[in-house]
Amino acid sequence: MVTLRNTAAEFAQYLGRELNFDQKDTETVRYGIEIILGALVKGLFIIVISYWIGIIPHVLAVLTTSSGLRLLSGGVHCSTYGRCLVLGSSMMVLTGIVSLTISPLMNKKLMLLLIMLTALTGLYFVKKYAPADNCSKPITKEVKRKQYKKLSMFFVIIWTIVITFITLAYRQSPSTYSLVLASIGGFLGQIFSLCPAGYRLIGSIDNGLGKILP
Amino acid sequence: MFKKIRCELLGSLAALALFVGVIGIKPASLFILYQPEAPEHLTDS
Repeated sequence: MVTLRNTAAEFAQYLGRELNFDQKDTETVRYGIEIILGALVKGLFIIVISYWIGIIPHVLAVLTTSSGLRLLSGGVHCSTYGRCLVLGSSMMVLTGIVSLTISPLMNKKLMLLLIMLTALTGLYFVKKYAPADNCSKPITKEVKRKQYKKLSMFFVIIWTIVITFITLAYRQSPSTYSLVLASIGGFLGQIFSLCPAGYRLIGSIDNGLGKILP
Repeated sequence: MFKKIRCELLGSLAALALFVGVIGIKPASLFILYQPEAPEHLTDS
């Protein structure tokens, strides 16, 4: 069966043979290729779907916010790449659609209130649950855990400043509120994936998807 | 000459994969909800 893992492993074996790598380096190359291929396929999938629907900027706002925080704070994972592709893409596209739909209802005060509430929620959950690691690569060193927690909190503060500035400086632009809402959606989605309720929900969706996807 | 170019290309690709593999050891992969199984020598434990 052609899977991302098998493709990456075969390619890494080929590179290892051609370049005389030892087993350790071949395994690192396999891991790197799996990440690169996974990101490329998913990125292309998301771009194609959002282009088709006409919400590329909104989906990119969701993607950049959630990816930036996720890199530092970690979060729940699906058990296979296929389920990750379906669930992750659906979440991003849906967040983009919702942000575009509710943006006409927003005004400056409501936006600022929403940003502040989101930032406070973010700080609380990051302080409590970040970094949320997984069984594939647990973070066991306490120094590293503290470092990732600090970096995640720093990200939340910087994100709040940037998003508040954008809301105030570009409020005349028709697409500002919808893009900011998309970023807030991506941020909250990532925060939710840190906490136990997020693990339970994604876990049950992952199990449900397992009936139709490998 | 083609052998040299091929070797350079494969070497660059392997270097990129090694780089991504080593920096991939973060709490989570960038924007994929799936975490490939990390090699033991790259993890903390």
